Amino acid sequence: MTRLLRRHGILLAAAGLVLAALVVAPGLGLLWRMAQPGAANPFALSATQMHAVKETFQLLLGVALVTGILGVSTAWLVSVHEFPGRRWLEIGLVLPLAFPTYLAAYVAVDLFDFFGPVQGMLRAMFGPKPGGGPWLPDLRSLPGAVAILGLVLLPYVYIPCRILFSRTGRNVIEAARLLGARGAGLFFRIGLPIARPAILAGGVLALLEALNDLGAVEYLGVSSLSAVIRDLWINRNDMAGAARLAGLMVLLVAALLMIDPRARTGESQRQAKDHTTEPRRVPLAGLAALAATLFCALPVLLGFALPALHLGSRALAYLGAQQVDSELFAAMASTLALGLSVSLIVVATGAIIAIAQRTSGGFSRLGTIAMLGYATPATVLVLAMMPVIGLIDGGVARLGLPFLFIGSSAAMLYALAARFLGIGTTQANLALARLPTNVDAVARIHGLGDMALAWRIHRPAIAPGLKLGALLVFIDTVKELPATLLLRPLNFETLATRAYSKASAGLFEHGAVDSLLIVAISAMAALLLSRRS
Amino acid sequence: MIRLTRRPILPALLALAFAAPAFAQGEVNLYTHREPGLIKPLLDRFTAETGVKVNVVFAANGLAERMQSEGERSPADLLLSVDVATLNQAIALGVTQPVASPALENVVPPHLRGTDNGWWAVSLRARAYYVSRDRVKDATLTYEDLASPRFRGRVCSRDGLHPYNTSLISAVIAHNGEAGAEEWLKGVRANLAKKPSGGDRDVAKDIAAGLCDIGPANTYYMGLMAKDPAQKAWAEAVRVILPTFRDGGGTHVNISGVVFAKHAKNKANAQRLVEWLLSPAAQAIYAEQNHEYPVLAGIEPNDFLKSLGTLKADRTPLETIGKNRKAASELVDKVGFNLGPQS
Repeated sequence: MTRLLRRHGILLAAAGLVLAALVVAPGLGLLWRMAQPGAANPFALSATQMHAVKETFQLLLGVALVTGILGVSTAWLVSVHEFPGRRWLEIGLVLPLAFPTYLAAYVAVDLFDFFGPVQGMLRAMFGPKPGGGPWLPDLRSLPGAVAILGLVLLPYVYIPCRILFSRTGRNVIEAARLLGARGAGLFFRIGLPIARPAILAGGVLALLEALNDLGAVEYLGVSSLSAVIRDLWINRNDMAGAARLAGLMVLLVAALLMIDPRARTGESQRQAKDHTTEPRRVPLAGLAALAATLFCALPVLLGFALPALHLGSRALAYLGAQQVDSELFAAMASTLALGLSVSLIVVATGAIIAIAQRTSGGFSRLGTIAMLGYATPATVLVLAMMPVIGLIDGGVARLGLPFLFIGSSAAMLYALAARFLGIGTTQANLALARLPTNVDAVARIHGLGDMALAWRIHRPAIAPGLKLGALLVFIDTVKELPATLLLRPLNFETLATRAYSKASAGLFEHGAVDSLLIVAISAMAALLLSRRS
Repeated sequence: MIRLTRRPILPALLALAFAAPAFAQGEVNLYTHREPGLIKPLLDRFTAETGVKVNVVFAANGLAERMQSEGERSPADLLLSVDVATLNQAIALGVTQPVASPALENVVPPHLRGTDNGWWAVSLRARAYYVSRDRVKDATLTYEDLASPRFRGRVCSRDGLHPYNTSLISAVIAHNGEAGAEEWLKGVRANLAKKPSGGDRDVAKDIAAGLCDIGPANTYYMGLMAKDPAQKAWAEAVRVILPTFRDGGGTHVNISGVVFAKHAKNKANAQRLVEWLLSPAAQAIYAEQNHEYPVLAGIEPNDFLKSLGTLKADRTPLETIGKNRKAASELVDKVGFNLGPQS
C-alpha cells in the first residue's frame, strides 16, 4: 500500500480505493445475506429446482446460439457485401436493443398468439386451421423464449462484430481475398476467427441479460434460476437461502467471465488500432442478394419493426380510450435524467478504475468484480445493497446529519451505477488497451506526473470508447427495473416503473404509451450507437 | 352504486371548505405492492377530501426489506399489499406495529384482520375458476374438481408459484391436509393442457383459443377484460365459477390489506387513510372500479360481481393461509407442477 502511494499519485490511489470499497460493498452485502440462518442448501436442490437449472442452461445455450450465429453473420454480410437495403439494415440491426426483454415477451405473445393480428390474418387468408387450434406454435415455451430473447439481445453480438470487421477490415480481409478466399470460405476461415473476441465479449453480455431476466421467462413459462431464488425469498421466507443460490449463480458467472479474459481486455483490438477504411464491399447479385437482404431484414422486422408497430397501435388505441396523465411528462423527464446521470457516473468511474489499473498495476480484479454486479440477479443485488446502504445511513446519522441515504436519489444512483459499472470498466479498458504502453513511458520521460498523464494522455484516448459505453449504460438504465423500482424515492416514477407496474397487474397494454416511449428513447440512443460504429 | 359513491362528497366538500385552513396540511407515505394505478382514484379522492397528501412508492416485492434497512429513519407510514402472506412477512421482519382503532374494529370483522390487529384487510379478491362457456356445462364446481379425471388435458394455469396460486394451494392444504393437497395438485398437474405460463388473463385467452377448458384466475380480470374491446372476445368465451370446498368451505378469498409501519412519522394520517379506505364511499369505489369485493358489510359488489352469484367466502382464517404458503410452495416443487403435463 505505501509503495502504491509513494510510486503513484496519492489522489489517484485514494480515488481508486474509495471506488474499490464502493464496488466491493454489494458483494459484502451479499455475503452477509448468505451468512444469515436459513433453510435452503444451494447444493441440495429438489428435482423441480434442478429442472429450473436445466432449463436456464438450455435457455442460455439457445440465446448464445441465436445471438452468436445471427449476430456475427449479419455483421459480416453488412460489412463485406453490398446488397439492396444494406445501408438501412446495417443501422436497423442495432434497434432490437431498444426493447426491454419483458416488454418484448408481452408484445410478441400479443402479436403472434391465437387472438393476435398475425394469426387473425392467417385465418382471414386461409380460414381456420384444419383440425382447429392455432396456426402458429405457442411462443409461451422454451423455444419461444429463446427466439424472443435471442432476437432482442442480438445487437450485443452484432455491434462489436460490426466494429471489428470494419476496423480490421482492409488488412486481413483484403489480404485473404488476394489469396483467393471467397464467400463462405472467407467467412469461416477469416471472419469467424477474427470475430471470436467480439462474439465472446458481446455474447457474455447477452447471456448475462438472459440469466438476469425474470419477467419475460416467467411469462413465457420457462423455469429459471431467478424464479427459484425469488420463490425461496418470497414464498418460503428464506432470504439467506435465496442469497446462497444467487451467490452460486454469481460464481458460475465468474467462471464464465474467466473463459477468455483476453477477449475482454482487447487482445485483438490492439492490432485494430489503425483506423483504415472499411473493406471493399463485394456486391451480391440475384438470389444471393435477395437472400442476404431477407436474412438481415428478418431480425430487424421480428426483433424491432413488427413489435414496435404493434406497441404503437396498442398505445394509440389506449390513447383514444383514455387521456394521457400529466405525470407521463414528469416520468419522461425522470427517465432521461436518470439515464444521463447513471451513464455519466458509470463512464467516469470506469475511466478512473481503468486508469488507476494501468498506472498503478493495482486493483487488477476490480474490473471483474464490477462485471459481477452486472451478473448478479438484479433483485438480489439490490437486496444485498440495502444493508450496505443502511450502514452508510447509520454513519451519516452518527455524524448528526439529518439525511437519509436509502430512499434518496443518491442510493438509487449508487445501486444503478454498481449494476452497470462493468460496462464502463470494460469499455474504458478496451479503449485504453489500444494506446501502446510505451506512450506512458515517453510521457513520463517528459516529466508528466500521474495526474497529468491521466488527464492529458489517457483521458483523450479513452473518450471514444466511453461514448459507446455511455450509450449502452444509458439504454440499460432507461430499461432497468429492479434497482430503480426498489430504491427510488417516494413519488419518483420513470417510464419503466410505470410500464412495469401496469404489466405486474397483468395489464401491460395500459402501460403501452410508457412502453412505446421507452422503446423510442432507447432506439434513438441505439441509432447514435450505430452511427458511432 | 353511483349514488353510494357520490353521496359523501358533498358533506366532505363542505367539510373541506370549512376545515381546509386547519387541515389542509400533512402527508402520509405509502409503500405499496399494489399497482398504484388501481388505487390512485381512491388516493386522489382522499387527498381532495382531507387535504392530506399521499406519497407513494410501488414495487412488486421487497418493500418490507427496504423498511428494515431504513430502520427507525424510515419514511414509510403504511405498507399496502395484495396478499396476506406478504403482510405476515413484514410483521415477522419487525417493521410494523399493531394499531388499536375502535373505528376500524367496528367495521372490519375479526377474520379480516390480523392477530392483535397486526394487519387490516381493505378489499377482497376471490380466486375463481374460468371455464369455457361451450365446453363446460357445470353450474357449480368444487376446488377439488379441478383434479378430476374428466378434466384430463383441459386445464390451463399460470405459474404455480405465483402468490395467487400458492394462496389457493394454502387454502386447499387447510381443507384437505398436506397429503390431500398433494394428491389434488398431482391430479391438477396431470390434467394440465400445457406448461403453466402467462397470467390470469391468459387463462381466459387460452380457453377462448380452444387450448383448454378450465383454469384458476381472479374474478376481477374478467371485469377488466369485458371493458376492453380487444379482449371482449376472450371474456365472452368464458364463464366464471366461484368454487367451494368439498367439506363445505366457501370460495377462497385473499385480501389487499395494510400494516402500519413501526416507525411511522405520520401515524395519525395513516390511520385516517385506512379508516377512509374502509368508509362506505371508498369501499364502493373498490367494488365499482376494480371489481373487488368490499370488506365492509352492507356494501354491495358491483353489477359484474353480482352477476357471478353471491360470494360465500371461505372462513379459513387468513393467518392460516399465510402460514401455509411455505408448505404450498414446497408442494408445487414436489409435485413438479410447473413442469407441465409431462416431464
